Amino acid sequence: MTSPILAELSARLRQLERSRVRLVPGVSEPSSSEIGLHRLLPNISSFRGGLVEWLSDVKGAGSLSLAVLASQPAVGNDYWIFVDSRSQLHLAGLAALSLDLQRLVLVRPQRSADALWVVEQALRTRGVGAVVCEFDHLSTTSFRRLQLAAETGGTLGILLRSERAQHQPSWAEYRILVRPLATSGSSDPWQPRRRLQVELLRARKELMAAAKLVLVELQDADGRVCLVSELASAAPAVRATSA
Amino acid sequence: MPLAEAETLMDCNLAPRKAKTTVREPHFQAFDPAADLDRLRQLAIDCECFTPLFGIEDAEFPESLLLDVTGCLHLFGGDQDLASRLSETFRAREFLPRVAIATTIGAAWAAAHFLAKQKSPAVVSSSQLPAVLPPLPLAALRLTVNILSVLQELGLRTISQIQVLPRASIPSRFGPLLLKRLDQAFGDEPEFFVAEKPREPFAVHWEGEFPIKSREVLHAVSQELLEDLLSRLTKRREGLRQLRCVLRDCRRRSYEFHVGFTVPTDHARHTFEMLCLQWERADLPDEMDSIHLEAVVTGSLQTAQRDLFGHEPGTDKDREVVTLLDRLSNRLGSRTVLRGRLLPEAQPEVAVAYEPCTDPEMRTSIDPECLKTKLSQRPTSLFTQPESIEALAIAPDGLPQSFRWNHQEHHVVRSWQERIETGWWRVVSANRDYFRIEVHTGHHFWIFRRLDQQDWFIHGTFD
Repeated sequence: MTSPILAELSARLRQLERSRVRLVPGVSEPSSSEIGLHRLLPNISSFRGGLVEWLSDVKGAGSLSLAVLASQPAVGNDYWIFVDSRSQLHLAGLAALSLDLQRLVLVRPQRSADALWVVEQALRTRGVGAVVCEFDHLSTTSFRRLQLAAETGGTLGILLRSERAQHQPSWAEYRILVRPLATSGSSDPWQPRRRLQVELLRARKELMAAAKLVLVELQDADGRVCLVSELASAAPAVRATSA
Repeated sequence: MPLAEAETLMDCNLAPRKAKTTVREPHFQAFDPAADLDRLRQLAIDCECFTPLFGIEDAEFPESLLLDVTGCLHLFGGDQDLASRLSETFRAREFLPRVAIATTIGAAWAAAHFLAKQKSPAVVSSSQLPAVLPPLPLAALRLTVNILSVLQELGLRTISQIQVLPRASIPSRFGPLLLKRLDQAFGDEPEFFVAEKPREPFAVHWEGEFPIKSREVLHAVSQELLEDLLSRLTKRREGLRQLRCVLRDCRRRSYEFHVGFTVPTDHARHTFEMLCLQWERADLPDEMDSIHLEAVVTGSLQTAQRDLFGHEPGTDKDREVVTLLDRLSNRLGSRTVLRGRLLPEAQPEVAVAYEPCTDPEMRTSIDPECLKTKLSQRPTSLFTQPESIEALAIAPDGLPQSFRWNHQEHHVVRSWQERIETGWWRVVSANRDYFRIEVHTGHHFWIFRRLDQQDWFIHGTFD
């Protein structure tokens, strides 16, 4: 006779195998009040072994910050590899996202072919937690290779792409569209914050997504991502939280 | 000296000078006695071309090189010429040396510190000692601070004042060191120094009767040489940090490769794989006459057990990362795979130092908590060159209402301001009002206005 606990565990195991999502042992799930993204993507904080596409239109949209903040629980103490083909990433700005600089490596390849090779090699490496890269064009074959590499290494591939890529085929587990919105209410002179509309465009498997679209507010001073209230303006909510 | 104190002193000393002269950029570095000692030892070893006996002084914080030039003077045309040549050699390496030659270590030390000038070395013969040393201050005897302060309290300031004291009473009143140093300086008591031994170069060489014509043979010979090299290193508990490989073809043309490693390694297979990565991207000749492998930089294998940036002992996963970084560095070039560290600088262009992961020198980043600048005000992308923008501001010193960049008109909704001004002594100084701005579309940019020119630039984006 099977105990209820064993039955529940086997059910969860089957569910995980179906979704091919790897949960990192020892990583605690963030509370939904703390991480607004958790409402959109319940597994994003523990997802590894695949690719996540973050789409946004132009520079300054906030998709990189959001992607890093959302993926930090999954990466834990492993290494971050940033593939910076444009040589523009600024370490001081990345440090503001609470990344441990001792475990951050910047790779600046000159050619796009090299960039692809770097990403694939890094994704195959077990000690690497996440590989962040920017690709405008990615062939289906290359995309598939990256996805297999991420599966092999159990790493997380964060692909930052243009909004135009949403009509292209994808091997990513998630495809997320980030659109910046102008914030309302009075601004704190010391704590910059920004509001983002995050839309889950696609998930490869049936995941526990409770919503397709959420509004989040990113507070740069402490790197918090808060869910914006759907009923009231965000400004009073923030004040109430800090009071 | 604490870094903050050094910075404040620099500010106090340099700020009142209004003259717009360009001086060299100040460089702050944490005090590291072990590293200083290593460098000093290396400097001593570099003096091998002057004498076979060289070393450093025996002190808590040594700062002097000692060379025993007995029997070497005639090779350089005499003591004065040797001293001048030593001085020139160090000046060529941007040191400010004070060189002295004397018959005793103590007298040479005293003459170097109190007689020699940067461009005029001091030479003191044995017959000159009784006349030269007595007028010198007591600090020339290499005494401790405690003894010096006691002597100063008693009004004793020069060596001649000590010489007139009864010898028998000196040890009981001031300790044995004073008399010992006095005798050593005048050559009444022998003094020795421990000579540094230059490290045996770790190199292996192959030169065949017939040239190598195939890659397979090249690989086989290289692997054998590498194993030989690494076994010699392993006996001394050392691993490779940088390997130099020189291939020479039949026309005596050289092909040089430098292989770097993130941590010291003694794995022949891994080393060979990294070497092959470099060969793959090079146009190697069809025939090769000789192979030369040399361990340029080595490191203790004990530290190889630590992880990438000197943390706790690494796991298998960390070793995989190290292998990855070695592979990336050797295929793409060491300047491509970087680690960064924050510097206590407000000017964004120089606030971060990027160093190759295979750089043997391990420098630590400043704690972000200690930085004066708010990191949340820094963009995630910083342009190499700020881009000029057309901005429309109502007030001359005010925030722009709108600006045009990237063929788009942006209307500013809100902003966070910060002024960044650097010292006039900087070669590239910055006097800017920075604004983190939110535009009507919700995008965040980092723009600034040059205070002296009143023109606007965009310098980064908050991605």
